[in-house]
Amino acid sequence: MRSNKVLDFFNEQKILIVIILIVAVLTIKTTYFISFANIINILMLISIEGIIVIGMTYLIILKELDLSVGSTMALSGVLAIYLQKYGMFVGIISGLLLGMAVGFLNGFLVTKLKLTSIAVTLGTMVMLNGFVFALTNSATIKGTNKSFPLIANTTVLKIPIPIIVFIVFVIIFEIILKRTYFGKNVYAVGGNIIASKFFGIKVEMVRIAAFVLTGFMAGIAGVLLASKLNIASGRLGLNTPILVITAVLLGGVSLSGGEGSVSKAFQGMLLIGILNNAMVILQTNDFIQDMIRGSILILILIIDAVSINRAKYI
Amino acid sequence: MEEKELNNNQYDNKLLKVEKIVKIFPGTVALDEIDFDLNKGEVHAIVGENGAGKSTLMKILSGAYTKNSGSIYIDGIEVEINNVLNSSNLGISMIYQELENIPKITVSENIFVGKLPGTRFMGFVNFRKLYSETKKLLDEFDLNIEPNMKVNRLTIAQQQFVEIIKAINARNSKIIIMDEPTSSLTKDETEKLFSIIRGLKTKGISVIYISHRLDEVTGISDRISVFRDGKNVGTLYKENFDAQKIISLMIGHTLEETNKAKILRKKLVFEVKNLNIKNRIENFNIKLYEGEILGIAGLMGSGKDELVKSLFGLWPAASKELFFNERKITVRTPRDAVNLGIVYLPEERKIQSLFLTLSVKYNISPIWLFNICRKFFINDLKENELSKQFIKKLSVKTPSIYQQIVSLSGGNQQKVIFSRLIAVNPKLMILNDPTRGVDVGSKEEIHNLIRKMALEGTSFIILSSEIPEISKIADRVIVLSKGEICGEFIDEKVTTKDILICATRV
Amino acid sequence: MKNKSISFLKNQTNLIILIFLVIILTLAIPSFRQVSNFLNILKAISVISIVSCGMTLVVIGGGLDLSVGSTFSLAAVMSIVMLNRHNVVLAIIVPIIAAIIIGILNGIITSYFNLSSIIVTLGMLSVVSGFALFYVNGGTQVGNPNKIFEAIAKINLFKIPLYCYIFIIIAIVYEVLLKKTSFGRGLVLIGTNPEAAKIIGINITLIRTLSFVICSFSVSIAAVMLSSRLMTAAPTAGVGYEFDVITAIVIGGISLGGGKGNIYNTVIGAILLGVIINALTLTNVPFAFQAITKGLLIILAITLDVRARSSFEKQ
Repeated sequence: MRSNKVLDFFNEQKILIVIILIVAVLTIKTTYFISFANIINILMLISIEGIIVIGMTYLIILKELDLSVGSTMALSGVLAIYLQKYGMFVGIISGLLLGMAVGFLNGFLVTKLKLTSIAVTLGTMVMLNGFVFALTNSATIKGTNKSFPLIANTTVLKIPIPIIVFIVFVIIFEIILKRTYFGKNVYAVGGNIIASKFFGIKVEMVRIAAFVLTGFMAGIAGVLLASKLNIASGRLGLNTPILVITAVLLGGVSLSGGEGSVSKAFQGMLLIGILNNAMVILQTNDFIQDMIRGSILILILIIDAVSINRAKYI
Repeated sequence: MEEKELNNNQYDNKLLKVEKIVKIFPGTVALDEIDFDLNKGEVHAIVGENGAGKSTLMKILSGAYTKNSGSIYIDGIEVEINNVLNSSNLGISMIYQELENIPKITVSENIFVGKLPGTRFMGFVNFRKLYSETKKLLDEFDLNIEPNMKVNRLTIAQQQFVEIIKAINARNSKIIIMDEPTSSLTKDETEKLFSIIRGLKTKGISVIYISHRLDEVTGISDRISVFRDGKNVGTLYKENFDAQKIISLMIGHTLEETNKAKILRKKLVFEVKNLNIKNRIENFNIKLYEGEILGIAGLMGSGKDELVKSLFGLWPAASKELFFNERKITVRTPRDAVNLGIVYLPEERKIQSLFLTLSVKYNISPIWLFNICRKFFINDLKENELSKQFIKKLSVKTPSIYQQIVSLSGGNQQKVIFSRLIAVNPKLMILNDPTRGVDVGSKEEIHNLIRKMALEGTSFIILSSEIPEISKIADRVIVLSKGEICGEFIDEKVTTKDILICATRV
Repeated sequence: MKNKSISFLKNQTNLIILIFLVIILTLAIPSFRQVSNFLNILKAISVISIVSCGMTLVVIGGGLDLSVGSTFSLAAVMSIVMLNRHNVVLAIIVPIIAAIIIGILNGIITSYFNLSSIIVTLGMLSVVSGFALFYVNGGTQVGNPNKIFEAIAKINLFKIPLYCYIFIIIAIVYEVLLKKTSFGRGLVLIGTNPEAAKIIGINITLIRTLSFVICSFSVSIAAVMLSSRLMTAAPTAGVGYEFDVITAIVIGGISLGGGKGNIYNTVIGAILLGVIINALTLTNVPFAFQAITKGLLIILAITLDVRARSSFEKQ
């Protein structure tokens, strides 16, 4: 085998290396960067949307995309707050159920009607956005329940709950992906859908399950966000699908399907959080962050494409 | 008395029996009441020219095609094979050239796909068991493959071995069909494959082995059957293997009526020097003259496909020197080639040539539009005229030039593609399997067209796996085997026999 | 001949639906009947339809440009800033140049590296929107009164504003480009079968890049016109635009896979969408339900498109 083991290792861990570099550079500039408070800052920045990253990873391994996650997140937040009047838990459960329902709808349309996930989730995204504006009357609605904000704003051992939820989920879903039948099936279907069907894997179930999972994650994120800000609004979640997809791709999960992992996507999300935080500390312009994020995405894509090309003729 | 008992015993051992199968495609009879049988634990090879029916019968057995008539018996019981799943359940596996592995997961996950061993905890995979079971299987066949390695990192040979193991493990197959399994293997890897096959035999698993490589086939098989024109023309037992006999059975009595005029090789039009393609072609050199038709013959894995693709800029070459009219040229992309007057006819017209949703007219004009009539605004009248002209010239059967091309027959579609290439008055035409999937009538027309154009000065490089076609139409034939020219036939009456002997040499 | 008339009719389904819808609405809703209302519809759809026409070319070539929204924002704010700091000429030219550069980048990166245009333009979306915000430090720009610049939006010919005429002219020009030039033909071929197009020797990079450039160019024209009309521009002006544009295209019956359709389809789709939204507004349906309707229409449209395509394949 011609592979250079050292080069391979570096290629595999390139995101981790970039992260370490940035952390090193910034720590030299100010030790505040690796202080506990700042680490919590960074994690808090990425935790809520990071939960959605987990589900999106499963989808991208399956060669699918879900553009509706932002609207789902916004809508479940709206439900959580809107239905608070019937009790805090009613609101929360509705938000979560909504997430799963949207996921199921997406999965159904994609598998049964055989439509591309991009087009379908574009449609559901627009629709859900409409529902959000309908329920909020295009305004921001405030939460009325006293205990609700506590969910996202309490800390356990000085760590805010959303971060704990995020980390725990990352671990759980990485284990599921790597060590269970379902996870193995995800890789198989993403790698070769025809062969998988041939060997008896229930391909449609796998795909629908991944969509439901992602929808559910978006629901959780929506509830947490609503709890954290104690408001619900249609303006939330507009950037979410782009951010989440960027994180997954940045982490090295390829759009060609069949490979990747939650831990890689986590690294991608972490990189985004670290970059944002670094730029705040360095007092660079907010808006440049967007530019840098977009440029890095394009750069990663180009590198990905060039290496695929080279592999073809080896 | 004894004979009858013998017959009964033979029948009892027949794992598979195929009787009088007929398979018809529009325009051809692929299988003409063909018979075939297979014993338990036997390696039965099938040889024959392209179009003889080998692949067709295998596709019927593996469920990809359905037969028109005839019967199939497995273990003495008649069965119907309707689809791929059905065939798999009956214990038949086909190892395809386009491998069915799932590339980005590990060997063990592939071998046990759909059947991963579980743990006490519901849903979790028992990795230790998976590893040990896989290792056990691999060791049985003496394969030194690491179970945790991702399949896309294995060599082609290793991937193939994994596929075979997958077939007997994940699918419990009793019959394994291998179609040209050694086309990408080295000598050592072929040896390894043979030891695996011998291992299969001891387990009572049978192998149907399809190949052109007579020396290999005689080495590993218990029986060899020869197919020709959709019939089984003879089965030889191990003791009676004889290469000459096999070849003459393959060819039958096809007469070569080529009365080829010797062409005047005056003007050197195209020259290739020092062509090297990684793992495919080594040090290839050739000269091509004006009006000459060069045929390139070779079996799968000979590299002829990649060779012509690299001439057209569709496949990267490690080194390549091209000369057109004695001037050095660079061809890195198809655009370069087309600009120089070189055109290419791809082998898969549905995927690589046809604009299926568009009309005949749109399918004839593109190269002409972009390379000859390079105007910004399309001259509709001229385009219509051009299309009508070629419809007539090549007798394309279509109600009008506005007809959607998808509704034309294969032969007529191919003629449309031909028109597309001819419309730009090319100096060199590279044709990859030009009459594939084309009816007999159109085939003849295309051959005549080629000959006519050659007389008028166009040079041709033609690839075909149909040996009679090449020997009929080409002025000169080179035979490729494993990346090198192993024979050249100039102006002679080339017989199929000659080509076959050369190409089956290892 | 039969084929030709059938496909002609099929192309007209949307037009028929439109006419049908207009008739019903005219009878049902009094406020719909006013000439001023039809004028309103035209005015409302003109700006975004210009972008849709440009995007149509990209889609036919097999791509998708998700950066149109942020390019719109950038062009809009650039226009006002140039107006305030310099003059009308720069207010028109600079946004156009910026947009063309974005189009070139989109096209070249997508074609040369053979990447998915969706993801590339998604990345470009972030880059451009970030730049737009940076350029004006997040603040909405208010334009200083300028008679010439405002004239673009204010001039009326037979009561129809100039920008509506620009929309119609662009639609016609693009349709001609698509149907009668080798560029347009190349787009159709590339969208139908990229591999065959490559073997033919078409310069795929050039043609696809040109389609992206024309798309971005259209965006800048639309943005300049809107800036002229409102005399203000927010750096978030174009957020979500790409989805509206795709909606119009999908409703118009154009396949997102490429190779099929024409500008005419998009225009009908845009008008249809405009009429529906207008009707919903006139009957006081809340804005939210309009969005829901849009989403449903998208799903309906792509379902029909897939059905049509699979029945074609069965042939």
